[in-house]
Amino acid sequence: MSNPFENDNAAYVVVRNDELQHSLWPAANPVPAGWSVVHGPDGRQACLDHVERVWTDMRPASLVAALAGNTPRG
Amino acid sequence: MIPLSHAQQRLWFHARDGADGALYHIPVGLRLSGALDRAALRAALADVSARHEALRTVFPDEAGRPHQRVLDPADAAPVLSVTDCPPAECAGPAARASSRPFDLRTEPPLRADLFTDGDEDHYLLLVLHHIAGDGHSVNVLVRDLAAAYTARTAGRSPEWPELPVQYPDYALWQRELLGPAHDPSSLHARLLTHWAEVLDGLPDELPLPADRPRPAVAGHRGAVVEARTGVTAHAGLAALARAGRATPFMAVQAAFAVLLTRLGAGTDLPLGCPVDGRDDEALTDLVGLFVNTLIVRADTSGDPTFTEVLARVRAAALATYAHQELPFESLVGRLNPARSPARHPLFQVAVSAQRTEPQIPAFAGLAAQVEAVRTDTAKFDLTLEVEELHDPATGEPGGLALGLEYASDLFDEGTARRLLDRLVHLIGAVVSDPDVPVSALDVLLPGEKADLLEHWQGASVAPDARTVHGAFEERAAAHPDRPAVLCAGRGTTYAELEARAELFAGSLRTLGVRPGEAVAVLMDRSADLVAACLGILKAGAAYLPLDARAPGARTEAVIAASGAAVLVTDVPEGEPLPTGPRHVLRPDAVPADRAAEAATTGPAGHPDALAYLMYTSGSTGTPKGVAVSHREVVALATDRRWRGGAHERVLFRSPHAFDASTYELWVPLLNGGLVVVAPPGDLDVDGLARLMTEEKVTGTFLTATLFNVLADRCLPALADLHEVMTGGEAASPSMVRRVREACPRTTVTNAYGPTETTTFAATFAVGPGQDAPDGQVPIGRPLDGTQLHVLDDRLGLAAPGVIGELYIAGAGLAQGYLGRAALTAERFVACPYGPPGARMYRTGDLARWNTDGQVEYLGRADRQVKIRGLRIEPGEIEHALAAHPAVGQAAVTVVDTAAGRALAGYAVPAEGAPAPTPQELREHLRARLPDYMVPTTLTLLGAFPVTANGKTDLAALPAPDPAAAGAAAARQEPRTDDERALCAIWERVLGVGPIGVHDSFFDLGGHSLLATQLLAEVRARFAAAIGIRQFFTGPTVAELAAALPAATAAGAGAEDPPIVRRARRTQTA
Repeated sequence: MSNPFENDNAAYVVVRNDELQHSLWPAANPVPAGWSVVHGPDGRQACLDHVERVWTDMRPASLVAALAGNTPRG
Repeated sequence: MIPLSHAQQRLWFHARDGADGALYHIPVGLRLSGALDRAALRAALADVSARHEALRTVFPDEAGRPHQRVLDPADAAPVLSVTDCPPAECAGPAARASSRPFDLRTEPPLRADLFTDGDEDHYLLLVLHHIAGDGHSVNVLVRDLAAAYTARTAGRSPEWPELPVQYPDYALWQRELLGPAHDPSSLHARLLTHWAEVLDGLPDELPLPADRPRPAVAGHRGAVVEARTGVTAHAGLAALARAGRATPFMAVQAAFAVLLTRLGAGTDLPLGCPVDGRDDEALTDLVGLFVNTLIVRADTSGDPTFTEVLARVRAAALATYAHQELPFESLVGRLNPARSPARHPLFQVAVSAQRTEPQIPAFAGLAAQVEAVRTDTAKFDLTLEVEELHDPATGEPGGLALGLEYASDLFDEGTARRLLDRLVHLIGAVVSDPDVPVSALDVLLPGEKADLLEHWQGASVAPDARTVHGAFEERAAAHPDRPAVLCAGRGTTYAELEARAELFAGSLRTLGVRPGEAVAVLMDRSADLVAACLGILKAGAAYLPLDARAPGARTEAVIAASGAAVLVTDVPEGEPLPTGPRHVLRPDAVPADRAAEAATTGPAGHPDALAYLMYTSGSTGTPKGVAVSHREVVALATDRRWRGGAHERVLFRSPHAFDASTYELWVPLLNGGLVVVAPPGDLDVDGLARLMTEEKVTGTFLTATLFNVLADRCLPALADLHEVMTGGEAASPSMVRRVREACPRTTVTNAYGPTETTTFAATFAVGPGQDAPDGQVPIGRPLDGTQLHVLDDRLGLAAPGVIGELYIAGAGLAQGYLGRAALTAERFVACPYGPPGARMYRTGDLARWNTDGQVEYLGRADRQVKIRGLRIEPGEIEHALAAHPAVGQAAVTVVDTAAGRALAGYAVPAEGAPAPTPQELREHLRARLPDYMVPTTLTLLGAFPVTANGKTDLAALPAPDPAAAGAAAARQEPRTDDERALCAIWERVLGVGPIGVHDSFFDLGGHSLLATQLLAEVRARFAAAIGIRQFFTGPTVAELAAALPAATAAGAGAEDPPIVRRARRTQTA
């Protein structure tokens, strides 16, 4: 069985939720509720490169907000 | 001599062995009411037998080559056996009569049994061997019998027009029409060319959603479930078919293909398709075997619409009908697929149209009713029988009557029923929406979606926003004097642990540790290790446990990736430490009492802050740091399954750097229990057993490997536990059973979970009073707040019983891989089945929901291998190997050999059992698995190499000795006179040579008919009766030679044709 996240020839998008977490997502599938497309459709590697570029603080947004005032993690 | 028709030849070959029981019997029952004239019935039976030569043909053979011999009518009239038995009570005797074997060499292929109470009610059972007839022949037979009976009761002979041809004419005609296959200008050769093209690259075996793995030899036991579509669905499907210029039958074929695709059978589906073969009008009124079976290759690739699938199936079916003269056996010979007695060659699923117009035969003076009789057999894995019903008045569609015959070896009745129900459901769906992609069609039955998404999932729990240390502090306040840690005989209370942890936190803050940072820990197991971890959490940081056994470079890479500036270690000063951290904190530098440290209690902390980082090996070689927050640790520790006392005294024995330690520390500590610390370093099995007994451990987690060793050697140590959990690898059913039986009070739990979901995601407990499952041990159901999803390759919910990939959502999900955004985004993905914005972890494991709503783990998706085109799951072979009583542990890998990829099996003998020989293990596996799953080599080892976290290290297994490789090795010369004689026979029959004693008959170009010839020669030379099935399970000279002694003993009296023949003459006289 082939996994829909492992097809180098398929189109993907990058989706993001309210916690600013990012996910690779097969472009052929409907985007699940609570997520929106922030990149693509594009090739798999291009999508992952995008994620690597933009998702620099991987903590959930609610945690970052709660800790505002504390020293952020390095 | 009259040759057999091609179809007869195939049946003769199957029947030759006599092992298929009633598989090729066609029983038909006639309920007759009224005054039955038995003499007229006998005469009528003789009349039909005289009329149809096929009914009085026997099939003697010379040297394995059969021919048709038509007996004189006087010698062949069917015997009417009469049994005094009210017809209402004749089911048992009739079933026995139906399945009594025919000796086709001497016995005409029609039998008649009358069950009667002697008065008004009679049941006439006709049993026709398939070699003499097909479905249509039964209609002809019953009609002619009725006409003859009617004539005989009036004292006349039946008057019917003479038949233009007889079956032997057809057999000869067929051979002439087709011509020899080796003549390129013959029809035979042209048909073969067509079919070879059409069937190029056909999958050897369709992966079906079966309940059980295929046994070594198909048993052909079967049964039928039935269902009916509504009139609207029938009419709708017929309209779709009409719109596509197809038949309703093709539309059902297409729907079944779509269903199989959606149930994981792939997109290339060879469907067996019977064709009636009576194109010539001269054959219409003839009893005989004309039906042929060919293949409609349904292509469902590319997620087409149903309309598109129907168009493809129509084209394939029309091409099949246009090339239907090719005998199936010729096709098998030409394509020469990997043969196995476990499955039907070329296709395992068939769809057949039933045209059983209600027949009311006219027996003078009798009311008659025909009944089809089931024989409890299955020719294929699945056969879908399709009958279109019509309103007798209007001719409008009246529903589709569907029957699904299933092989009982593979399917339970409930599974077959659900399969058929899904088809009915799917037909309704395509009728209402034929133009959606087939992936969007719903194949779940009503209620199943709720089972999959709600009822079988972890209980929903209120969010717990405490931190790990916050929850511990509550415990310490509630029962300060209760022992929290026991290490080397010394106890530490909750209050002491709390105080010590505060001191660690203070020292860390002093060193500049800030919330959100990581602190590395390199310590032996001790009470101070527990305090250090708590202290790190109290300082708002996450602990990063380092593996003392890991290479220095890896450890330093891990420290650098985590950004840890402080290392807490008990490594004595002066000994080498990993470089990187700016500060080193040693426990002995932490002040011994609070007075020395300013009370600088930090902030309470946030539940979504990280609690720990655990580095696991990545496929690229770069370790990846799984980042787990407080919330997820608290969720694990507060799961309701830990209640009840089984986890009051938990053994801390896992290396701290592995996530089993999360359970070992926080489940007891956050529930008021005790952590029993195992001595530092690796513990031997006996030491472990002793410790568990002496310290009255109640609950522990053992890797599957360690569990198996303990189950083997130290059962008493497990008997005192309340619960032993095992996981990390598939649990061995035999070991689970052994522990359950020997330790009646111990709950044995199979636990499953990747590091990415905080140690455990699902458990399956077998508690006191419960029996261990016979086969696979499920991984069970998810923990509280956690969801398991088994998804297909388009992320749809796999139906229960269907294999998919396992995804985990909800409680326990890690935040991701620290600093690895892309890797996190491809493994922690958006979840379509949770609340908005939820994520799920993609495990890469294969799994399915069983019918009890428990998840079964079926191995790594990337471990599944293909050998000679067959999908093989090494784990399944490991299960079978481990089931041998003398095997303690089993492993199976794939190796490259000169002959291509091959399976290599490894076994460690069970403690106390005599070491099995590879040959014994081979025979054990042969009895349980299809031949292609029996490893080429079987190697016995003293112990398996293990990875750092205690799993069997498959990559480190030694390369198998080629000498053990059997068939894969160089040709082995015959070693005995028997082997030499057998090699000579093989070379003669196969026309090749020289033959090695381990060469497979089928690899050398042999096929089933040649096998029959070969065995006939073996019988002549050795007077040994070896059945074809037996030969299939050991198709080498060596195995044949080994089977000779037993076969010779049995062979002497095995056949005595003259007696059978005389007895029959006496009866018919």
